[in-house]
Amino acid sequence: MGKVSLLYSHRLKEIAGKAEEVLDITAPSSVTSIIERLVEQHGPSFGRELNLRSSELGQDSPFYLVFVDGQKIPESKKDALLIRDGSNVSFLPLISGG
Amino acid sequence: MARFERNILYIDLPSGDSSTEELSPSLITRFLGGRGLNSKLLFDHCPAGADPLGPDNPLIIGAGLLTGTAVPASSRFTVSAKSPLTGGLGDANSGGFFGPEMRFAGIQHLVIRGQAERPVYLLIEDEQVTLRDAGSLWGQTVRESDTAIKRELGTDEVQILLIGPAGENLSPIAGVINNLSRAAARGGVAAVMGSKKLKAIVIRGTKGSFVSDKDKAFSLFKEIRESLAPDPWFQMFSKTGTPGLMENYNNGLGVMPIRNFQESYRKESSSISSKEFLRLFSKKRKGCYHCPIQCSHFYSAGADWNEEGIEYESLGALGPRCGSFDLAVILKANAVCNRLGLDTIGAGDAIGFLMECHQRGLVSRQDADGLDLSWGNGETILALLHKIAYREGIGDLLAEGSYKASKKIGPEAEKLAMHVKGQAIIATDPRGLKAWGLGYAVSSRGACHLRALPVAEYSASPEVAKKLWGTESAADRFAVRGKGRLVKWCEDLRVLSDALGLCRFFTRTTFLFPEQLARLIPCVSPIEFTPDQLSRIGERINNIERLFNLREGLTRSDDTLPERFLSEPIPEGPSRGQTVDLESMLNEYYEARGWDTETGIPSPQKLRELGLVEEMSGLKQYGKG
Repeated sequence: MGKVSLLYSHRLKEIAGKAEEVLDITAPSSVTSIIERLVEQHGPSFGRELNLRSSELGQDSPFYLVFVDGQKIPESKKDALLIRDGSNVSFLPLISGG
Repeated sequence: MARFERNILYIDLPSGDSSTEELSPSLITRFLGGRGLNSKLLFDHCPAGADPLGPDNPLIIGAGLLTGTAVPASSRFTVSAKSPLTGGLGDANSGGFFGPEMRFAGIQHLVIRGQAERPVYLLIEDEQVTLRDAGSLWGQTVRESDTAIKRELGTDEVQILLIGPAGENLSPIAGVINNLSRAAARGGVAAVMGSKKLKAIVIRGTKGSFVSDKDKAFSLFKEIRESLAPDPWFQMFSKTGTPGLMENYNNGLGVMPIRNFQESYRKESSSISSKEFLRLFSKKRKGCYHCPIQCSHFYSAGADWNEEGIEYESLGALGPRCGSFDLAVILKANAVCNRLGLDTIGAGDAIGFLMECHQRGLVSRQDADGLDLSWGNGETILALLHKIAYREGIGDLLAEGSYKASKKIGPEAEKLAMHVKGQAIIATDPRGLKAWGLGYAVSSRGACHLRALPVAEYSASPEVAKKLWGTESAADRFAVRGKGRLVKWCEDLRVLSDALGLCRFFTRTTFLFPEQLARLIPCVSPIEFTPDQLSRIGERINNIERLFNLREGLTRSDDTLPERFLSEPIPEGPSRGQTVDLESMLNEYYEARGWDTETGIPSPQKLRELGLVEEMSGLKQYGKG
């Protein structure tokens, strides 16, 4: 058994009704499998929000970036990278600037 | 249809004489306009070694090549001068409506020389140019002056760019304000305006905007609007404005400066979130000229505290950086800065610096006129802003900015001044975003996030990073490899927005690229550019700015960061343990630029390639090596 801390912001936070929560995991889990569990828990609107696409550097990109322990997880690694006990996972919208 | 008219208006303040010169196509094709052409004009008109607050330093105001046209988000203009803050190139950029009005009067650039004997304001009504007495305005706030000028002229249909008491009192952390709350605040350009005893520039243009091919233009603009509208980035940004960045930079990335960068993450920070701002204070959205995004807000923080803003930078500088998480106080502080004509970043930096000096026993309560310098004390923050603008008591010291103030306090205080080249660092901690750190270090105007704005280091995919900057690690925010090439690439594209007069948020994605910009320009200009020409212009502008700074004696040793970022790890949060390894990024950057890695001087070959042959004369004497 292990625990993963999750952080939401903006509309994800509104849909989930909370800014953060802790998820129990029985074994190291991929980002994709964690997202599947969250969609089950918070409903299809949560999934729709997480699946939004935006344009970044002129290319189609996911609107929500996933960070694990501060490191961004590229789309290409969401299935492969395993999240372990004690990790912090953040879902941040792409909005940027200063 | 309006005629394509682009002039430089020269004003000599001592005599009141003015003259107009039509912009030569060769200048436009080499530097476009806005910041680009301003930098060229500054290079030509500011003699080496000029006193930034003396008569030889010109104040140059430039609308972009596309400013005031039918192109979306084309509101921007740049104010340039030799900086009293850095001793090098200074400029500040703003949106609003002043830049477009310049273009409606047929003016792309204003070059103001000399100093008036007594306070004046400049009135431009198309071709008619007059200097008017501003004796009664001197000492008045931005709001009071704006109202008085409109009353005197008997019309609201003018655009006004003006300084408040901070600029009059020659504070290098003063800002020039237009539309009451839109600031061109950096680089100390307002102090240069104050040194000229120029309270305001008032402009009224009636000439309209040029369109080459109406059908083609409006078809393209429709395509642009239709691509923006459904994109969640633009939808969210329209709603929250830059305060929406707070959650990303604090909770998500852990790069929000707190207590003068002693910390960069606060778990409990919802009191200053965009959600709270929208829920408690925002009254309605507001935008600049012809903007499809409309990211600004009118807010009310109580009776007499109705204002426009606030931006993430101001929120960060006047709040957490000074230890405050009280949104009402921060919004009032933002309003005070606008009214007194202060740079919110420079002012927040100076106050945060003072509070840390107090924390470490370097400044006493007595030194600070009896003010309680505890972190986050709202009354103190508001009181200090007034003292800075009017140079009262401790405010006289802080009005010089944290770097110069630290020199007067002593060596221990110098370590606490968070600046590059004398200009305050913004509200993003570079220890958690390495390319931002490099961008601050090499920025031609001193610490600045907008020169490079290398958001790609956390937003791009590894595949894109590999393709554009040669390594996947360029898209890893904690890595240093590839960041030199990334920052150079970003700087050369971002400067095109500044030279064209387009908003950074409009050019954040597709219209960041020269291929797309080359489609836009012919719609509203008879001069066409290829993507390659535009790329070369971006590089040329960055190089002429480098030459200006070298001529003023800045060297590679000035391309650095405060020691705190290089050696003190971030203590908590998602960027915990991070510092900046600057040297390797700097070397890669210089190599990418074709600059000498030892001295930071552009190679003669690079300057010849960019057509900066005239400007390179005397290159050997530049810099101290």
